[in-house]
Amino acid sequence: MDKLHKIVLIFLITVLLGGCWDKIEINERAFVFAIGIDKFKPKNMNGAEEKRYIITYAFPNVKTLADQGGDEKPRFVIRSIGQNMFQVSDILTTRSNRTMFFGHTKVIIISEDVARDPIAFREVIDGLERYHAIGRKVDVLISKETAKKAIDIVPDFEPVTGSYLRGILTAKKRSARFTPTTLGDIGANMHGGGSILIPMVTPGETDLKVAGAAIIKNYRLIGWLGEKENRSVMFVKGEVEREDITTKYKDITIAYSVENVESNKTAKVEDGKIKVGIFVNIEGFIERYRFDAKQDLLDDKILQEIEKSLQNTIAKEIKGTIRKLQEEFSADVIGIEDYLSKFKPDIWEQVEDNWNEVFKDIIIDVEVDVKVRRIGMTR
Amino acid sequence: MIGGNDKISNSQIVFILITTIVGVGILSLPSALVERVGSDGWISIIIGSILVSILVAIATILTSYYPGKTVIEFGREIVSTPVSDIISFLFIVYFVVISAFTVRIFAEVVKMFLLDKTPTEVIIMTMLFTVAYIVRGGIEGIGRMAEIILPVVILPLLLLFIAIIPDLDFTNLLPVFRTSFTDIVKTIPLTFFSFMGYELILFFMAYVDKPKNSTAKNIAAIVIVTLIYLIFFTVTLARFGQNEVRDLLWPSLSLVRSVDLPGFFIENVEAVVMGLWVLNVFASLSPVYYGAVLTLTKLLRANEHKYFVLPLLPFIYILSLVPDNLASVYTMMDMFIYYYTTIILIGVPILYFIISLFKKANKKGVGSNG
Amino acid sequence: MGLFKRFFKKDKKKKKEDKGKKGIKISSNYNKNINQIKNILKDCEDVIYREFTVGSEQNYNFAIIYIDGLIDKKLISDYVLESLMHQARELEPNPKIFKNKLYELCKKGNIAATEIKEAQTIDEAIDYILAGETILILENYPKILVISSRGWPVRGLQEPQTETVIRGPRDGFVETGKYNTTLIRRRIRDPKLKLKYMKLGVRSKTDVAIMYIEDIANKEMVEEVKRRLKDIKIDSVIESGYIEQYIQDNYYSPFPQVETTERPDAVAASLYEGRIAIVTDNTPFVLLVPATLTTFLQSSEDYYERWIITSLIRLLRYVAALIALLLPSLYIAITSYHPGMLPTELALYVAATRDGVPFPAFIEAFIMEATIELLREAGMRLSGPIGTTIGIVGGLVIGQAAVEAGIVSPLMIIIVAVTTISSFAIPNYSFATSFRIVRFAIMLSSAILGLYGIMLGLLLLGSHLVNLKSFGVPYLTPFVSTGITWMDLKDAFVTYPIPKANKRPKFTNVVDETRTDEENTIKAERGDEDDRGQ
Repeated sequence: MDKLHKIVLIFLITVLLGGCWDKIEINERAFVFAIGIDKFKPKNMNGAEEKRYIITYAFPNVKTLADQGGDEKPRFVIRSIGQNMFQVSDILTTRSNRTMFFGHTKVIIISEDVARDPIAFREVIDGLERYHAIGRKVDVLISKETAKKAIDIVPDFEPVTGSYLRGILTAKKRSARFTPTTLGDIGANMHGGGSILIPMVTPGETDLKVAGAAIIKNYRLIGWLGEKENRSVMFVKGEVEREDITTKYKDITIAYSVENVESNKTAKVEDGKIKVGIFVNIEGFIERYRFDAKQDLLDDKILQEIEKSLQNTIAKEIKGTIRKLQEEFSADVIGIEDYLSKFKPDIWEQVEDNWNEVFKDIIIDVEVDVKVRRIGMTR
Repeated sequence: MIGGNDKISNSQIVFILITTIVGVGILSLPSALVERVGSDGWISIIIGSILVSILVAIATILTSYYPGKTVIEFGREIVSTPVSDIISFLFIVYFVVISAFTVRIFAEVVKMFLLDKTPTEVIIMTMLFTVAYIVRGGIEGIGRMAEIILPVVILPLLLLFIAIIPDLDFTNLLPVFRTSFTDIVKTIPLTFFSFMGYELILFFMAYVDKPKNSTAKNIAAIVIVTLIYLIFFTVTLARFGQNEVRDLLWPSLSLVRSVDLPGFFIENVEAVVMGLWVLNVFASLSPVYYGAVLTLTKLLRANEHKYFVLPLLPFIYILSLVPDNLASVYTMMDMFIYYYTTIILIGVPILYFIISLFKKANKKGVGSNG
Repeated sequence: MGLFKRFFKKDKKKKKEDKGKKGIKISSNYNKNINQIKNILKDCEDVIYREFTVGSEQNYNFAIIYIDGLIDKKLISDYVLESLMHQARELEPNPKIFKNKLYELCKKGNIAATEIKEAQTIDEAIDYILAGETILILENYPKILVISSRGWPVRGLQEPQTETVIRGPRDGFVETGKYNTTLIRRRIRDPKLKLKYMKLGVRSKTDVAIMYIEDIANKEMVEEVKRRLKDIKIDSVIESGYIEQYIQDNYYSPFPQVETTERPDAVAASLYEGRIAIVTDNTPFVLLVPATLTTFLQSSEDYYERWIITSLIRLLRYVAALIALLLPSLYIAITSYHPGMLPTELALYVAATRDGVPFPAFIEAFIMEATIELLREAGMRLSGPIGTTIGIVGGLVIGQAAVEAGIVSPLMIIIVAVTTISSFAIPNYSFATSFRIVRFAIMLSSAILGLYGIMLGLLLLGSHLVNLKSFGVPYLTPFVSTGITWMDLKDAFVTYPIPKANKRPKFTNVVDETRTDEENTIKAERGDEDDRGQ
């Protein structure tokens, strides 16, 4: 027992003397909250065909947390040019005294340029996925302008870009005008060769707006969905938690707020074509009518008509979006592929291989059912 | 009684079996299965487990014919000393190689998730020394350790899984029964070898005091392992969907990384799970290492196994560093498993068993068995 | 005299070898006896030789020899001297009969002392003197009477300072073995409570008593205890700690394998569980064997209060033990190696507080922990108000100053404080001490390898504990054993309302397959409560 102890002890000491390899003091780390990836277009193309990126990191200035109010900048932004994130991290160590740490990264912003380039996009996504330090839960956004610009803006509400954006994105409860997508979602989808929506971020003056989505198919961006179109997709997927719909009843503009959405799909083959039915059930309450001393809102018939009007409005929206998806992009972001492969495997097996083409030809019927559950405080 | 008695209970064997078998195999099992048979992988798991149960029964009954003796010892009675000793030596090689692979994969995982820059050698060395420490203490310590580690690892994992439930999409398990039977059959070797570790029954049953219902208990161990595998498989699949699972290297670990416990003070449960993982691998390694030490001890007819603990360590260490990278590890492991292990795990117990039956039938007329 | 001395010296050596089998014989010569004793006890000026005469004609010499301070003088003067000197005057003056009968008379009838023994040899007599008895030497008689007269200053019963409870008896053991055994006896008025004496220590001849309840304790364990005690060959047994080190299974381990307590109620409860108590003279610390992890985490108070509360408190103790062990290491591991584990805001906060601290996290932790240990030791030496002041001064002022000087971060202070407080929550002091040591070891391993290091440290610790035994009982019972009983396992975490806990913990019998009759005994005693819940 003695001898073994001595041997073990000696070995341990040697190990100790060898050093602690991974130890980095916490205050030497820079907690990168947001990463921005842009394409680098060199002024003179000297034949180098390498794809290079401008990568921007934003991380908070920790000191401002400790002493409340100093006039230290609340956050830092640094950027450099390189092949991928690792390289850039290394380059940046020549300029900063902190080690970049990505365990708390919240948001990755990819510029439209990169997204439109299939090779670039794939490189970027692969690099991100493979790197274990960046979790799967990181949100990804596509920026219509440069990511650099998006990150540079110091929003009023919350100076740290990453937290700001993450805050917006987690507020899915507040709006369905964008579809929060995480790195994990992208990975999952792209592995399956499908299409996915990535929310779009637009830099404003002092804030960033997240609305709409970029349609990603075949590893690249092929188009945009507007806010309302995004909303439609969310309706079809049944993921809307809160939305505002306006519709006209007689000549009154009614504001209706959605509380709950459920959607179902059916599929069958008719005349050699696949027919998919989408049923969306919506519940909500009326936010605004028009003040009328004589006419009460709490009237069955009126409500029914309002419901019908809403149904039409929404159905039209949805149909329009679907048409756009089918015809312009042939991108199935509404989950039909998913549905078929799981619930109707027989049909799926037939069309699996050229799904992209088949998608265009599917007849999609949309039925919307709207219920007004409440009308607020007054009659 | 006062002082080491080197006896363990049958339930401790069950614990040892479970913790040993659920080792590094569980990391990659879901993705390997999904790659081949999609969402029907669970069928393969069940079939594999039934086969293993049969072998477990054979092994247990075999040991019950020679109470108090390990396979090294009673092997000599069955097939004559030289042959049995050769087989025992093959077992040593088997244990050493398996330990080496296990600890290597373990080090790779630790490097990726916990300690990036720490040299692999250090991770392996430290783990091996820790295992050596408990192996010196003998089977008692290992049994008790297994009793502690199993609940400590399983319970938090179960809690974790409950926490994932909101994120699970069980539709990902569809469609079912679409893969052909032949495809499923092809994956059976894969699942069968995920149950590696049950051969320890041949070695450790000797230390059980008054075994009762051992066969049932040991099979219960297999059942529990099967359940664990099924749960992992199902949850992984439900969380990620077939497509992604295919591509993940270690889906089980990616699974726990994706858990979000809101409000908890540990944001990334991942590190906690890694900690538990270290415990689990420790519990996998120690019985196997001890098996090697024990076999060597008994082969050389020595009394104390303590002296053999350290000498075996360098072998495991060096072997574990042989493959260049993870891909190599898996390739080598596959080769090793398919050929060598089949003989050891399947061939030897069955062979011994049949010969024992034979001998028992012969001896019936002569007198009672020992 | 010279010859005599040499003879005596040889004898003494022989005595050492023979363990006192042969001693100096008592001669019939009165003066010779006295002189021999005087020789051996030369230069012991606290030995008093009181010679007196007995008989109506004052012609029989008696002598009593005792050590001043060790005896109850009143007893001797009132009962021994009084009866001998006064009453014996009434005896008939027949010399022969007188001579023969005197001794018997004295021994059996005349001395109103509660305990009278005979010494066979001079050495034995001296032993008795040194033990505080009074010896009575008669003229022309080759035997010496030993009168029990022990009485020395004893501390009054106080609550032990290291084991205080809110509810429970406040008597603690004292430094006299006989009183201690009495305190135990009072709580177990069972004829099956057995007590066996031993003298340990060649020079100290300390009285050591083994106490156990015969039909509950495992017979083999009792024998083992006796055997181990007999094997102790040492000069002196000053404190039970000496004994502890001899009889424990593994002296390398930082963990105590023998429980010590100052509380008689704890001892009594343990005896009922089948454990064995070793009471050592000159110390209030009684040893209890066997000891397992759970015994160290329990307090006798647990069964006096309501079970829900004590169950929660017991669970809290486990948490406290974990905290005391791991918290600083976790801090080091998380801040230096895995900041990803923390929720983002906490991570930022920690980074902010550590900004400007010159040392890496683990040096910071080491410094603070070392400082706390120093404060603790200092505080222990100083008792009373000074000690508490130091504690406050040390804690608050130094900690605050350190933070303001920027040497340590405030989070570190909090961690160290919580760790220290947690280690005080562990009821048994020596057990808590082992945590202090192990904590540093784990801190070291976490400094090198982060969370992996902590895990390895825990595994090494676990491996050690798992193999540790106390008198053959695995240390980690009831968590692990060949045959866990649910009752024991639950009891480890949660206390049972007493009416439901109708089986004794099995760990005292785990060692031996054959069970004693305890079940029948309990059932017989408890009557209507049997089989409930089991």
